[in-house]
Amino acid sequence: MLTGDVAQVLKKSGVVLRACSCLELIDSAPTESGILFRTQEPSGIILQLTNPVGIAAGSAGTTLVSDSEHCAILSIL
Amino acid sequence: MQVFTEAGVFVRSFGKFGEGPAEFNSPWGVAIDRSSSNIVVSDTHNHRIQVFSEDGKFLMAFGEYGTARGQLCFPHGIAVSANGDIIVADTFNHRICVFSSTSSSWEGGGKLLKSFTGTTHVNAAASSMPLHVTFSYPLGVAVCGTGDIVVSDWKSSRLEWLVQSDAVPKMSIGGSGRQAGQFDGPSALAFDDNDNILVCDYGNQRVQVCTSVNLPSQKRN
Repeated sequence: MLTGDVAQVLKKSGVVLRACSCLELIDSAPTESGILFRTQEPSGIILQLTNPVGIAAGSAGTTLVSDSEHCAILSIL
Repeated sequence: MQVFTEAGVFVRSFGKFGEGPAEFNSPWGVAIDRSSSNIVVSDTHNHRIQVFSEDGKFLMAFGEYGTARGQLCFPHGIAVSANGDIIVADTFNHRICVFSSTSSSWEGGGKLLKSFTGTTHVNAAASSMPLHVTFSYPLGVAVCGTGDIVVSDWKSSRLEWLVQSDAVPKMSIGGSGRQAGQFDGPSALAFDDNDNILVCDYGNQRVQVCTSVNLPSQKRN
């Protein structure tokens, strides 16, 4: 899993990001810039879900979401 | 098309840009026929649906640009029912189309079974009040365990829940807004194992999870 450096992976257009359980919702209210996530490890990395266009149910209760702005697929608990 | 494991490991890719078999122009929707493991893709800017085997072998394509029965105009969302029917959000024709798949042999696959653009029906099972459904740029479709169809309607920011057998509206969910249960241009849809609806709430930059009783059970992201 690509859980080490979310911010770095996101800079590479076209890279599929597997974040799985390292993403955690920290603010459920919509904001102008998107919804904020916080990784559990390493701490301090923020990911914003932006322009989601695809979705599917994953295993073990996860949700897979494609983030078109970041060219990433996120797995969220 | 790229295939990954759920852990994000690349498995394979197939297809390239173009108009021929196994070529794509802006593919948008992907669904799996669970009875055959075939991959069904809405090839949006080619105005058609393509079907592939699990390993990416081209099997068939159907649809062409137009407004007549069996024709498509920028199809987006796609789903496969338990009996193998292929449900397509024919977005710019403002209708939902159901095609046969005959997934065992594919003979006769892609035949239009029915389409609906929205009508007024009385849902006798739930209420005597008529429900009026008119699609305006439907983007996403999903099929729940009972075979009912849910459509995300981009322009109205609503989800329309339809009884599959006769496309009778069962309920309308949402509307434009930013509150829980409201949407701003809902795009893709999916059901989870508990038949909750997962919704890409595109303009609100979030995912919402709605129960089948018209209330968001929780809001993710």
